[in-house]
Amino acid sequence: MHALNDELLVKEKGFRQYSNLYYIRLLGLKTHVLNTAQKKWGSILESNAVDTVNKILDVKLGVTCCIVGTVYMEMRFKPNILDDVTKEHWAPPSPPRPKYCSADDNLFLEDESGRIKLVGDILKREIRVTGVIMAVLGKENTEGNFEVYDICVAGFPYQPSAPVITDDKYIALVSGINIGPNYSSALQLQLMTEYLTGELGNSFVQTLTSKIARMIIAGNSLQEIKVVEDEKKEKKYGYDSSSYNAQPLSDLDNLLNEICSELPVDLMPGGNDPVNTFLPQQPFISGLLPKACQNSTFQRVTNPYWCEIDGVVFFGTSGQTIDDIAKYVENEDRLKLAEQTLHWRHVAPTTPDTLWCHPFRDYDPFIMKQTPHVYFIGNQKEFATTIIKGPEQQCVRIILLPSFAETGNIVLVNLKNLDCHTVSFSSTF
Amino acid sequence: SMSITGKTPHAVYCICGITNEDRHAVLLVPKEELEETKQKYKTLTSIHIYSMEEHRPKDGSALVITDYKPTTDESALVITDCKSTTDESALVITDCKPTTDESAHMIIDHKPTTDESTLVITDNKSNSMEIDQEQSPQLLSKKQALPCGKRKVSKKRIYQDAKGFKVSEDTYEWESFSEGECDPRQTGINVKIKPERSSIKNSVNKRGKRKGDDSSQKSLLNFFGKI
Repeated sequence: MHALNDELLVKEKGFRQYSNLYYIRLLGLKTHVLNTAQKKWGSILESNAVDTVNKILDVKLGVTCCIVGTVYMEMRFKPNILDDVTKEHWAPPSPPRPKYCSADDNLFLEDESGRIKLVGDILKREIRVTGVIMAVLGKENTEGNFEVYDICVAGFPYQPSAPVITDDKYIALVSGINIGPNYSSALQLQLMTEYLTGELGNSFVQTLTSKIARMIIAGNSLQEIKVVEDEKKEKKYGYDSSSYNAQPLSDLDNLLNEICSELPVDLMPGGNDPVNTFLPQQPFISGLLPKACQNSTFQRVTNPYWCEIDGVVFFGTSGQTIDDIAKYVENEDRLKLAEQTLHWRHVAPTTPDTLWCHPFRDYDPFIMKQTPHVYFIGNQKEFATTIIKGPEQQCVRIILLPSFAETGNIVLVNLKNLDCHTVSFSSTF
Repeated sequence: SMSITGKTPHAVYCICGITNEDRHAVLLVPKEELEETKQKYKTLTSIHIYSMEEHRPKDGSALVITDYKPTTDESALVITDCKSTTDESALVITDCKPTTDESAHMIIDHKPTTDESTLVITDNKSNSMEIDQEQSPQLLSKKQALPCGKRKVSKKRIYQDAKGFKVSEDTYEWESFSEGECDPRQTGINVKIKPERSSIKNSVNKRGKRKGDDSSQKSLLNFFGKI
C-alpha cells in the first residue's frame, strides 16, 4: 500500500508535455491487454488468417488483425484549447457543457506510430472514453477505416485474498461535508461526531459505534469558495485579504480534532478543497489544520487513495474521475462506470484529456495494479452499492457515497463480510 | 419536574433505530413530536433526552451554539462541563422521573464528561441536585454596588474532595486595588463535575463584607468548610 500511495505523491516540480503519460500508459497496459485478448480470442488468433500487428500503421487493407492502442474520442462538444484560441475575444465564454457526447463522435485508436478510425456497430454498445487501452479485432476497409468485430480490454487485475475476520468491524466512509461560511449542516455534523465518539445513544448503540475502527473522508470537506464582487468596495490592487473567511477551515479543524480523539481519520482532498486541482490531488497542508494535525490518529492523504485495513484493501476517489467519465456517455449509471474502470484497469482514463492531471514521466499511477476489496467514490448524488465479481474470483464492493451536507448520510462498511449500510443524521427542526 | 420559572422545561430527544424504510437513522425530535416519530421506526434501538431547555428551540443552531459559545453572564449560575454553558440549563432539577422506558439517564447537556457519571444524572435513586438560584442575583447586585476599585481575576483550582471526586473550579475573584478596605470575594463558581455535590449551591452565598479580615486570599477549602 505504501508503494501505491507513494506513486500518487507528486515529487517533482517541473512540467512537461503529456505525450509521455500516454506512452507509459500504453506500455504499462499493453501486455495485460494482449494476455486477455489471447484468452478471449485465442482460437481466432491462432488461425493463420489473423495477424497481431505491432504498429497501427502496419495494418494492411483487407486483412483481419488485432491491434492495440489508446482510444481517442473526437467529440464536437469536448472543450478544445484550439477553439478557445481561435474564437472571438469579446464573445463571453459559453458555460461548460454537462455532456460531451453527441451523435457524430468519432473514435480513433492511436499508438506511438499513428492512429486509425474505428467503425462498427459493436462500438455503440461500449462505453467509449478517451484514454482507455484496448485491443480490437477487425480489418481495414477501403475507406481507410477499421471495421471492428470485437473489443477487448485489460480486465480486472490480481486481487490479494481477503482475510478472514471473525468479529464485526466497521469503517465509516463520509464525503461532501461541505463546510462553508453559512453551512446548514452544523447540527448534523455534531450528531455525527457524537455518534462516532460514542456520546450518543444508549449502551447498545454505543457498543455498535465502538466497533467503528476508522473513518475515511472522501473529499469536499469545504464548500466551494465563490468570490462575490462587491461594487462598493474600492478596487484594491492585488489580492484583498480582508475578503478571506477563515471560519470554515477552523470549523473543520475543530470537527476533525474532536473525531480524532476517538477514531483514526484519513482525510482525502476533493474538488472544492484548498489543494491542487489536478489529479492526483496532494494531501492537505498540515498548516491548514493545526489542531487536527497534532493528533497521531489523523492522516492527510491523497486523492485517489489506497488503504489497507486488517488485510482488506480499500481504494477510493473523491468523485472527479467518475464525474468526468460520465460526461462522455449518455447513461448515468455510475455503478456501471465504476465497474468499467476496473475492467479497463485504469482509474482515470480521461486524464489528461478532459481531466487535469500531472504529467508523469516514468509511471502512470492511475493504472490499477491490484483489485481492491472495497472501491468507493465520493460526492455522488446518492448512495448506491453493489458487489462485482471478476473473472478470477475477484470480488469487489463498489460504493457511491452521497454528499453529507445534502443527505446527512454516512456509510458503514463491515470488514467481516463487506456489507454496508448508511446511517442518516437529521433533526425535525 | 420544575424549573425555576415554574414552567416545564422542554426536552429534545434523540432516537436511534431502523426506520420503516429499512434505513439506520439517528434523529433529533422535540418532545411534542416524539410519539408520532416513533411510529415511523421499525426497530427502536435507543431513545434518550438529548438536551433540555426552557423553550422549544427555534432551529437546530441553538443546540450547536450552546456547545461552542461559553456565556460570560455571571448572574446566571451555570452548570458546565468542559465545553459549554447555556442559560437555560440553570434549572432546579428535583427528582425527575425517567421519562422514557428505555433510558434511565437524563443528560442535561449532550456532552457528558469523560468521568464515569454524566453531568446531571437523576434517576430515582440518587439525590437530586439543588441549585440555589434565587440568592445569587441579589448578592451580586450588592457587591457590584460597592465602591472599591475592584478587578475580577479568574483562578482555577483542582482538588479532591472528601468523597474522592475530583473537583475543578473556575473561580472569579474580585481583587481590590485599594488597600485593606475591600476583601476578596467570590462571585461565581463554575463547578465542573458532578452529581451529588451539594456544594454546587455553596458558592454564591457569600454575604457582605468580612470585617476585620486581612486582604490576603483565604484558602478555598476554608470556604467550603463553612457549609
